[in-house]
Amino acid sequence: MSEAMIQARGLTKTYKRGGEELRVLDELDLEVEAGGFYALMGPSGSGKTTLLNLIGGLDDATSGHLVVDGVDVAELTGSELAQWRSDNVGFVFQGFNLIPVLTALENVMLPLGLTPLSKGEQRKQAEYALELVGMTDRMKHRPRQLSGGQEQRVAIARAIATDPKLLLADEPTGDLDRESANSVLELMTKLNSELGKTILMVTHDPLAADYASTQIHLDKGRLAQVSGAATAK
Amino acid sequence: MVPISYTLRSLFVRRSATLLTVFGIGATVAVVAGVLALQQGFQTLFSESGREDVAVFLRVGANAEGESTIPREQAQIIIKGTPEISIDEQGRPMAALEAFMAVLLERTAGGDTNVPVRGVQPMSYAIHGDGVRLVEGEWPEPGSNEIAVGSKLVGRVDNCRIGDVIQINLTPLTVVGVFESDGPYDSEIWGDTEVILEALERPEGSRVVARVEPGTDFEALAARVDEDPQLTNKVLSEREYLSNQTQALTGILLALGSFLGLVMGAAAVFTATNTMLSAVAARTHEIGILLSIGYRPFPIFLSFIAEALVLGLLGGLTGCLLVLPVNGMETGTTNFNTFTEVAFAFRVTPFVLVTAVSFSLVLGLLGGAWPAWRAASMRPTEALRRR
Amino acid sequence: MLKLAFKNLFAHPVRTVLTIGALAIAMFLVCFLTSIATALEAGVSSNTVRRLWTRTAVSLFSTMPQNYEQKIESLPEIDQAVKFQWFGGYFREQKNFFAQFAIEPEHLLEVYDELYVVDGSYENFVADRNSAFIGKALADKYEWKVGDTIPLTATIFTKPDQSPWEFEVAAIYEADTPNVDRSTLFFHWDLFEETVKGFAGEAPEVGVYLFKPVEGADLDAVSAQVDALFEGGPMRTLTTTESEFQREFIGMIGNLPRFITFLGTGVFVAILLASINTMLMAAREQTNDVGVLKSLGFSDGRVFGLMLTQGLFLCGIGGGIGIALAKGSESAFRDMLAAQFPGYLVADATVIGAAVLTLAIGLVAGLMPALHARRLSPVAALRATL
Repeated sequence: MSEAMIQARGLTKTYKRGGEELRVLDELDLEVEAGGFYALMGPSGSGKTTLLNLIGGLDDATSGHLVVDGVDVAELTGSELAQWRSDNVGFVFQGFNLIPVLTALENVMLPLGLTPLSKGEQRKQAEYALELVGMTDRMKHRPRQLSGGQEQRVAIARAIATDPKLLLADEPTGDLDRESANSVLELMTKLNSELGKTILMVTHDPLAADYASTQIHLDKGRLAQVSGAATAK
Repeated sequence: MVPISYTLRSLFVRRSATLLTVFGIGATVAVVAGVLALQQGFQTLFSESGREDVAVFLRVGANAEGESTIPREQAQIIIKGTPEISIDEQGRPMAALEAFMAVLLERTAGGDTNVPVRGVQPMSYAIHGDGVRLVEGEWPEPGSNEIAVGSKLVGRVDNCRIGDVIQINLTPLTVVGVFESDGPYDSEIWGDTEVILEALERPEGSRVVARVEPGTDFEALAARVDEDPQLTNKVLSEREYLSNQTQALTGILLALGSFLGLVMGAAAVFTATNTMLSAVAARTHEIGILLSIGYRPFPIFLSFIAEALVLGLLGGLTGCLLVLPVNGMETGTTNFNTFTEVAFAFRVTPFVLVTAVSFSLVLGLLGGAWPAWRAASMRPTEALRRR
Repeated sequence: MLKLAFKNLFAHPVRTVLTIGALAIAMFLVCFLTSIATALEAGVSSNTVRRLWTRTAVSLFSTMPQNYEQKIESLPEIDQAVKFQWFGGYFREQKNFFAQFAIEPEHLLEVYDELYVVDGSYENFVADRNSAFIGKALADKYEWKVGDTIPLTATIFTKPDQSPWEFEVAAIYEADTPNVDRSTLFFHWDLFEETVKGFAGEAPEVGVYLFKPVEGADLDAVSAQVDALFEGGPMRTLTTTESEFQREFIGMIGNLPRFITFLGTGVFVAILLASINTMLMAAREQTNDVGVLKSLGFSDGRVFGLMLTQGLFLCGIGGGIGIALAKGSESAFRDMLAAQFPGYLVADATVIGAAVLTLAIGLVAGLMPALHARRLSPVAALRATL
């Protein structure tokens, strides 16, 4: 039975830019159940990336409540937050963001270095993750030797290496051609359906959004509409 | 051509890297300039103060007074046999036998130092003329145990004030005057030749000085003295004599300055190259745009060279500013030719400044050459592709 | 993470190599300058030899009568005093300058027991009045062997016809202690006296008397006694231990230590700036990486550690190379500077000091980017490169 994975109440985020105050998130209320594949959509400036960052603990809210998997994210201190993120969240970015000087395998092992696992166990787990995404034969390669689609797969492997419950993706197919994009989206679907990971994906590509079961629309920092399977409100 | 404002603005935008490089070059330049200023101070004291109308006779083979001995009879022969020597109003030849010895005395601040002690004859004062001036007290009475001390010694060497007594070997000598000079003489103690020689237990003087007619051809005079079988001497103008004194120290300081300049310069060039490489890398996209607009590679190359030169120039100016406070600072060092201590001031001469700035420009140029070449040889499509 | 730090350094090999180069050069220079200063001290501080030098109280260039020898030897604590006179010549050109002394060969080794013969025979030296006893460093520099004739041009004791003084090498010496110069040429007093008497008409006087008081004698007391002998002249003396004399000598060169400090500081500042410059540049480029690491769950503290480690690595490698270079070139410089700075030595203290300095520079250079990285918000870091 699915329960609320993410709970936002009155979530507000403001930035100061050039003397003006910008309200990116405006008293947002949202509930998301565990186990779903959600597309987070909306016009430019609607706050979707900001929401993603707040959920992942990469940024702090100005006011309001945010509880992720039973943990009040605002209550955690710096190093607690980092540890929590390591255990519970995996990020996937539009620009892949692999460390250029490390090989694919080393990139995937990076988050595992924060766990108490031994070097040998880390390696095994990383190799397993790479197998899941189908990149085993290129694991000794550097990012610049990989195509965009391949890089993103490695990035996904890195995101799931520590087996977090939540996967946060920010425009993961934005820099990919149609074919690579589809294969990445299929991979993500697999991670959701077979491994039960909750996936929150920011996108403005309607074709990508189709892979998700639910679409959450934001507008001007507020919840505008929820469509698809009713596992969010 | 790429406008110069672009160059200057680029340097300003990357302030921290620019500042660090400028100071790196500045430090290098300051150190090299400091060593040069030391050398210039020393050299100025010696070479600019020597007179062209004073002749110095030494024993042949001696390079400085300290090594030279001239017996009294020899001195007479020299004086009689040299018609170029001027005659004063009383009809006497303006020539004198001087004695010279580096004497061990105590520094006020502790430790010992070698002070040049010179025995002079009454005619010496006329010969040296207003190059040597009494500032306090009187000149020593000829034949007495009186001495005068150079102004640079007062307060630095013990017992150098009027009324004090300095003992040289067994002889007590009383200070009756203080004098200053344009040249190195005011680091010396002057007394009567005979009294000094006796105190030092030396039978012979060190050199003969004489005033000669202005315009005297020293080369001809020197050649004649060389050939004269009666004279085992050599002669040169005081100017040349003092200039020669600077050789040893100048050699050492120039070698030191060059070595440091080379080594520190290499480090500064590396820093400049790094900065410029980084600048090129950060502006890859811009360069791509410029190239695609229609700028040829050469102006881009020049633009980066200009940037590097400006970096160098700023570094050089910084270095000059850093070294300027040292100008006029008094210091002392050993004149290795006579092994005596001589006091002089650092002199940041135009030579030092010009050398410093030229050096920094060279550093900038060397640092910027390769990055500029890299920038100019970029392919526009590649450059534009980079974010 | 250490691996990451290391790999980050070589992401831009050229830049890293240049910075390491600058650091190595600068650290080498610091070691070199310190070693020069050490050379000046080494001869002095390690000198616990009980040798005393009597010279005139008046000037380095004054001399004492030869009859002082008997008077000195008349003191109970002194067995043998040896006459030394500085010759001050050069070999062919003025720049080929080294120490030369006229001495009494019979007792030289008693007073200078650090010397030992490595080639030729000392007996031959004593027997042949025209021979010379030279140091190994000197022999190596000019490639002189036993049997070679060395012409010396005199500057103080110039012959009337200005011809050179000639000596045949009878033996070559070595010494293991740093305070003894291995580039000296010793020759016979008898020859010296005879030659000078020949052209000057008078026998020469003595520059220094060297002697070793007997075991157990109080050096200060003996020195005072010797000087008391000659209070009334004709030439007053000053007797000191050898190390005191050397220290005075060095002091006369002027304010060298302060000068070296001034130079060293300039060099230090230059390197510090070079390394900070590089670290900041590298850090700027790693902004994105910092964002990524934080998004993966690396804490601020960890990221701080990463940047600091990079700084330490870079400076460690550069400094290490510089120190190794200094140590490796030690013997080459020692030979090159043998005339002016005998005893040039890259002491352990120098090496340790340089290593500590390297570490300090690494910390300072790494601190700025480390602090910056620690405070960097991941969102800002990731956005910065988009």
